[in-house]
Amino acid sequence: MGLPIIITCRKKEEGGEFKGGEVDRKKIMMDILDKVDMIDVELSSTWIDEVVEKAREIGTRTIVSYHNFVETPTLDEMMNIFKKELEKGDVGKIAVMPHNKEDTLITIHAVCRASHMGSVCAMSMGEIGAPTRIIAPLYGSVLTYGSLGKGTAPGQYPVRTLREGLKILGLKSE
Amino acid sequence: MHSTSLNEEVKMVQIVGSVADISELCSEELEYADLIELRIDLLGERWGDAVA
Repeated sequence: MGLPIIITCRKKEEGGEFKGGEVDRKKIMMDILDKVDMIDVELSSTWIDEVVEKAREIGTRTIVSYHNFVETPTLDEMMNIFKKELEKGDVGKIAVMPHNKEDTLITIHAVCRASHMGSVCAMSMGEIGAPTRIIAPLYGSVLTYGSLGKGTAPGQYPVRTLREGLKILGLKSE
Repeated sequence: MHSTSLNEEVKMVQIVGSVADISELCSEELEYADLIELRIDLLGERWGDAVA
């Protein structure tokens, strides 16, 4: 395959479908740390510190994430979330659900401001938020997520479309 | 498995291809991604095969 791999095991409260408990989820993440390039752990995971510490010891990079499928928090709330994420991991991630186009601007504003604090990424989900997956990198988002076939989140573009969009914005050379 | 393409500071925009089915890892779309995200919660019992 040749590409770096990010592993996550998303819990139901943040849009995942893991059927086991938190003990199982933690064990999976701990066991897999040395086999992958990056892991994504929710900021709300009670065991996050243990996993991040072990990841740091063995050199596996960490994404600390926050997902809200109901609404878009305020700018101040998102800045606070990014701050907490960056205190723990290498990359802070926020994915939120907009109710209108104005909400997507709050997300862009947040990632733009937080990009001065460290490596961050953000996206608004759903149809309204879909363009942020291409535009947010222009404002400092270091990662953007597309689908390989069937997507894993609402509003995802296929990776080919993402790359074309980023090329138009001068963010990808190939 | 640690890749040298993941710099100490992730500053470049990188495209993450999310996958909900291991069979899609062979998709021709792979060439457009910089990283792959495997969701263990979506892969179910097959996650061990994906990262072996």
